[in-house]
Amino acid sequence: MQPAVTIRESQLGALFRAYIKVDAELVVIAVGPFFLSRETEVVPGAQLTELFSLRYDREDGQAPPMEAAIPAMADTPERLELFCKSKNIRLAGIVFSADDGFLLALNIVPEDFIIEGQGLHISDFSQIDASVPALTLIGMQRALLAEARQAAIDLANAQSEALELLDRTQRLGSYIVHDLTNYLSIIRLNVANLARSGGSADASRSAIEAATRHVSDLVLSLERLTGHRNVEATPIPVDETIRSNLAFLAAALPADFTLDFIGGTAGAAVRVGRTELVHMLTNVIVHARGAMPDGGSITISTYRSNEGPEGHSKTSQGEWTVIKVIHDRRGIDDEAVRLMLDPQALARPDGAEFALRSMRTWARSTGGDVKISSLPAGTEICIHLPISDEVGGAEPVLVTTAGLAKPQTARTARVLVVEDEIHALDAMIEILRREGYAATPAANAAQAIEALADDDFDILLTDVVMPERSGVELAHEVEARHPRIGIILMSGYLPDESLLRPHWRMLRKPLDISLLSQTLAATHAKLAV
Amino acid sequence: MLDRLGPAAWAKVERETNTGPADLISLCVYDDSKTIALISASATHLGLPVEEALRVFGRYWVRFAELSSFGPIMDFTGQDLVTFINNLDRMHRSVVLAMPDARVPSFTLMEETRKRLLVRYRSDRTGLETFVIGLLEGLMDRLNETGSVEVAGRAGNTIDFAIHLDRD
Ligand code: HEM
Repeated sequence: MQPAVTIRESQLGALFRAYIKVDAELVVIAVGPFFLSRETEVVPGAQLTELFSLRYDREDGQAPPMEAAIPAMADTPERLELFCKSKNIRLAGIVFSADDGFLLALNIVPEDFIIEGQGLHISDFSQIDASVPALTLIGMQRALLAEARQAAIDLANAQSEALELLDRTQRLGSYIVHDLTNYLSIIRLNVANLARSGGSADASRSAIEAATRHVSDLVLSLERLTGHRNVEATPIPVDETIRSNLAFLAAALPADFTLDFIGGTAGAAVRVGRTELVHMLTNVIVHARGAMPDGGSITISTYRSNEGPEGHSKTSQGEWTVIKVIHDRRGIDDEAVRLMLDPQALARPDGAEFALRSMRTWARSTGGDVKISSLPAGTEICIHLPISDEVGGAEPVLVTTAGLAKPQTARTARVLVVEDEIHALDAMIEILRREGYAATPAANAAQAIEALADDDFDILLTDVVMPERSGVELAHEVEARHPRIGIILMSGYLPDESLLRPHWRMLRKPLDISLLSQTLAATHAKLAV
Repeated sequence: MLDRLGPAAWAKVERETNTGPADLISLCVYDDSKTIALISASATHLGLPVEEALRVFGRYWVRFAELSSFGPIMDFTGQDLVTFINNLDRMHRSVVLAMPDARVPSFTLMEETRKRLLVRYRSDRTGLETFVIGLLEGLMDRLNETGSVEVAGRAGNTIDFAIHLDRD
């Protein structure tokens, strides 16, 4: 019989990507592009029944064998489904009879392959197969959902970061208030001291000066807090920062470059902005790229060094982080180095000097420096940055300008003054002594406990906000051991009432001197009763 | 070099730079000026000319897409350069079904020899030339090819790109 239409193999392949021609014994004669484009066992000569099983097999043990089913389906509209025995691939189509056997006009029936990763491609589906848009849409929907989920997580994280920042800001704010009130106390006490003749004018003057200096530091921090500058300026780990941005840096380089990173600072942290650091390294790399038209290798290495950059004394015990960028082509000539180092020379905004000089300015602003040297074959850029210690104030050191306490008479009240701000402590001791008290200084709770072990005291006058143990904790402890001692707390703001005993006295900072005298007198008088 | 970094590192970069592929895709779809603004912003940030930033971005974007939730679609599009380029139009056309406002480009493989591919890019947009170069470079990275991409010709709204492959 003359066929109504003649179909070429290539057209057959376009319509039925996974067609299989078999002979009457179901031995494969020819296969479609789906099989040709990948390594499969579906090749001419293979036995169909060994490669596939019929769909019916799964549902009904009585299903006719393939040898019977395929001839029975030939030239009918019935759907043939074949399961690959070795892979999770399903084929479906219809069966035509041919001169020498059968043509199985098959296409792939997609399972959830996008997730399974079965290695199917768009071109495995015929041009008219709706599976392609369907699968792409499923993929898009999943991707967008995943992105949305990530966005929600990021949002939640950002929210908690914001809350944390707010919390930190509030805490910082209350520290600043605390410190400011302290400094105000110092100034007041010393002004009072100056007003009285006989006080040590020099000591008061330097205390006031120091307090003023601290206050302007605080104003600076406040400016930073309210301005748009990096509020935290927390130290960032050098190696980790470079490592996590390496991909970003590498993206600025064409394929004929290699970028290596050897981190050797073992967790050293520097106090610079993360973006600034990445920005500067990007500058170096972009500049290196320009110097190497034929590609090459760039190595970033970091290490710790006790030796600072030129001009910094070696004796300074601060350690340094060195970030060294080496590339293996001669990047800049000596003239460029000279220009860079010459502050008088004008830098063109597009020139290497400009980028490098801005890098130097940046490095210097952090207390470090940049050095560039041309190697016989290549260029070496050394960035020195000072390693930053962990944040946190230094332990207050007690400077005993007050001298030893005089021997006490029975009538002199002995006051133990606890205050972590050293100038306030000095001033208070001096004033109390002048008022006729035997005053002993302690710079923190631990020192106070020590002093109490050595001597008897009538009154404990303590600051509330102190590092380590607070004045309230100290007061509880002292009262437990020395029930007869009178307790006066000083604070810039009211501590939690529930922590206070009703008979304790409170003084507000900044201290009012006459109120201080009155309170001391009243406390002492009460003890005498 | 890029392959030394694991997906986790990339995911982190992505988070740190605050951009995801979905950002870019949806930005692309709904507002061109935003995409350009975003890229110019990052160009200034990196101290690169905008053209160069577009290229770096294109290259980077392929990495992003591949390692993100869009990876399966990338895999579906093809695992070798020729298949990928041949399937790109069908993929984009399918994407448009979900994003009716999208204006996707068309890529046709005009010539193919072992060491050189000529790809015709058609678009009703202009100014994306270096972005496309970056994308094609990114595809080469992804599909383990090295080589270079250059513009071989421009006419109307089509640009021909020649991909030279470093093959033996
Ligand atoms: C998961 C993979 C991808 C998805 C989901 C996707 C989807 C999209 C979408 C939605 C657009 C926006 C159209 C508009 O702005 O209106 C677009 C544009 C574009 N896509 Fe893709 N794309 C993918 C991969 C690629 C790849 C690998 C290339 C590489 C050649 C590419 C080349 C482009 C170009 C050049 C444009 C800009 C539009 C233009 O030139 O006219 N895309 N794509």
